[in-house]
Amino acid sequence: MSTKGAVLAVDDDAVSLSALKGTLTAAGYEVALAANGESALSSCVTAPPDLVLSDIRMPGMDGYELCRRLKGRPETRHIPVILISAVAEAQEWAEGLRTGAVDFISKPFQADELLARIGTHIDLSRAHAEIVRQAAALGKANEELRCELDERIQAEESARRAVTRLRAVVELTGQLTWTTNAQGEVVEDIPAWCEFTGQDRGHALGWGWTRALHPDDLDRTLRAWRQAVRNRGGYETEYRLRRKDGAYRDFLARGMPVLRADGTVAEWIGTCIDITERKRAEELIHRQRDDLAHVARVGVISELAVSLAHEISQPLAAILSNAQAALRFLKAGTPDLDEVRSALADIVSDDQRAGAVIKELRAFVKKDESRWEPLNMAEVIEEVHVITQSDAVIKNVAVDKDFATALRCVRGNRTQLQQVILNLFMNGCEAMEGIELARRVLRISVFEDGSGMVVVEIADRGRGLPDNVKQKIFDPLFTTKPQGLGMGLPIARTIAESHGGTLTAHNNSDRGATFRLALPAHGDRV
Amino acid sequence: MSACETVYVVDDDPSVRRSLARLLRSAGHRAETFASAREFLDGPAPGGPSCLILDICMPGMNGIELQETLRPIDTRAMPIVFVTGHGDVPKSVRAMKNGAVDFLTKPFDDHELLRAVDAALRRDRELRRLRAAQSETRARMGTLTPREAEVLRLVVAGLPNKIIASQLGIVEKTVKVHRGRVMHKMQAGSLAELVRMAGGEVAHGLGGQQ
Repeated sequence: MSTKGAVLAVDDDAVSLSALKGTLTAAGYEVALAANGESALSSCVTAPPDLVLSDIRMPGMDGYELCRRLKGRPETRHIPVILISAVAEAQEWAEGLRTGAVDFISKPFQADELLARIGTHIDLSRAHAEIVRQAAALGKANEELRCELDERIQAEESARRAVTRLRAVVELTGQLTWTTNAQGEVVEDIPAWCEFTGQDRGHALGWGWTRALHPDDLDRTLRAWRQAVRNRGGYETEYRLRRKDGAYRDFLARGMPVLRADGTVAEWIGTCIDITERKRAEELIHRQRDDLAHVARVGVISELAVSLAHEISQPLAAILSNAQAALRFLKAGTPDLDEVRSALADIVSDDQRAGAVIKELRAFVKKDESRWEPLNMAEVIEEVHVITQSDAVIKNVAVDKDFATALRCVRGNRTQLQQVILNLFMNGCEAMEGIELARRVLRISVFEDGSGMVVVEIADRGRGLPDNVKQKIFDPLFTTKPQGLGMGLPIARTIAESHGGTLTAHNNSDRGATFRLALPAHGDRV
Repeated sequence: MSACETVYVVDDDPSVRRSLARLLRSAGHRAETFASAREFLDGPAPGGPSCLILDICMPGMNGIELQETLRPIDTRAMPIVFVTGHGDVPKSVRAMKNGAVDFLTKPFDDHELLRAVDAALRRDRELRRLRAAQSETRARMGTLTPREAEVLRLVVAGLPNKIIASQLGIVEKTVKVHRGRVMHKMQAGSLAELVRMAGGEVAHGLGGQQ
């Protein structure tokens, strides 16, 4: 600061005024002068000094009045007033104080004392002003804070309402909501979960919620959850959850992390939805599909009944003849024991032959068929052949087999794939009914097509598929046979597709049609 | 039973073939087996009395077709016993009409089969004997002179010597001489025998000019 302050000196006596000015200026103050109260007042209004130094006794407005006036106006109220008196009387002092003056100085005064008092009062005044300013600022800040607080409270309130509404909406859909901290531990209340599982609020905290999971699903779920927490995403898993009545329900749980601005996880939020009905419905569909496939298999077998009876009666006839021959040999004078022995050996193998047909048959019409295993399609075809060879003979169909040697396995259900082959075989034979006997050839080939698929092709030499039939043969309940149910090919295609493969048909370039079953190969290339 | 009597078995099923052959052997027969009609036809014609046990249902030529193929061939035609895994009535009727000895359904009793085989072999023996006799007769008739053949014809027709003499424009004594030579050449012991032997041939217009 270039000056110590601005002082307004008021005195009707010019000499005193000039002396004051000298003293003050020398001390580094900026001095303004006024010869009377009115001009002092207006000077204070236009250019407020830091301090007013005023004589009391003046004509017109005296020092008291000036002081009173200054204190009465808001813009000059803060200016400290020191009154100068020629008379050092207590009354005057009291009066002066009453008017609001801060100090007195009596004439004649010591310059030091005067300057000291002026300095003090200016400092005081400034300090006071500072305090007032700061108080105002504080008050303002306080006000702003209060507003902010109000806003924040409101925001929290609407946020809380929004969360409550969201939870209610989610829970109306039957889902349970839950939250955890960034480490995956439950810290907040999860009322919907607790309501469903019957767990106490305290029980569900931390990792306690896992106690409501089915013990068989616990490990898997924990692993999935821990991994998701580590990877900060991708939590979706199914588990069985125990309801408060003790029953287990199937649930699908999904969760996602809530990220802060810096990318760290603030918390996790998730839902669980009861999928028990959906799973039951899915299981029902699977069961019904399996039932249908089973019915179709039984149906096919009844079509084959005549040829199957033939297939079994052949070894039976041989067994009878062998046994009766053996008895005859034994009746002779010297029994030919070699003949008897070889008769018995043949009986054993013929019995096994009949047994094999019955075993294939039994396995084929069985209902339970849930195992998947590696299969060699050439073997599957041979197994079907056991059931069908008599049928081929009766229908005068020559079966031409072309099996690749280095054939990889496929993974699947043996019975179902046999069903597909059997269906295609029967269709192929039927396609050639009425064709001249010598031309009835059914060609069955198995090979790998180089694109990772094992392919079975069954080609007949019938009349081929007319266009209108070709579109519909895989449609359910479509059949050109008078006694047909029309489910054989649709089921066969469903089986192929559930094995990750395809079943298609096309007409051969010369005559007849070819059905093509393609299944993914498993294992390393040979 | 002569040593070269053979029972042939044609059946596509190997178990059935082996067991049938064994059964036949246990009854003292000689058996030969074939897996198809074609194989049988490609094999040699039978030497002695024989019969065929034939399956109906076979790939390629079936049993009935083989029966019909064999019938006109004298050197190969033989009595057939059909065996089948089905009880197919139309096929059995057709088989029997075509001259089969029997039609059996599997599984059959050993007695059933062996009885049928015996009947078939008997029939074949009989047929062969007849055929042999026939060719013997024809050979003998071939040695007759034309005049002798005429005399034979008229004798077998039942005419007395006197009428024969007048018909042929020769004397009765000459007729007697011719008759004696005919009886000798034909190796007939009596008129009845002569008629039996040569009657059929003459009736069919053989061994003589009309």
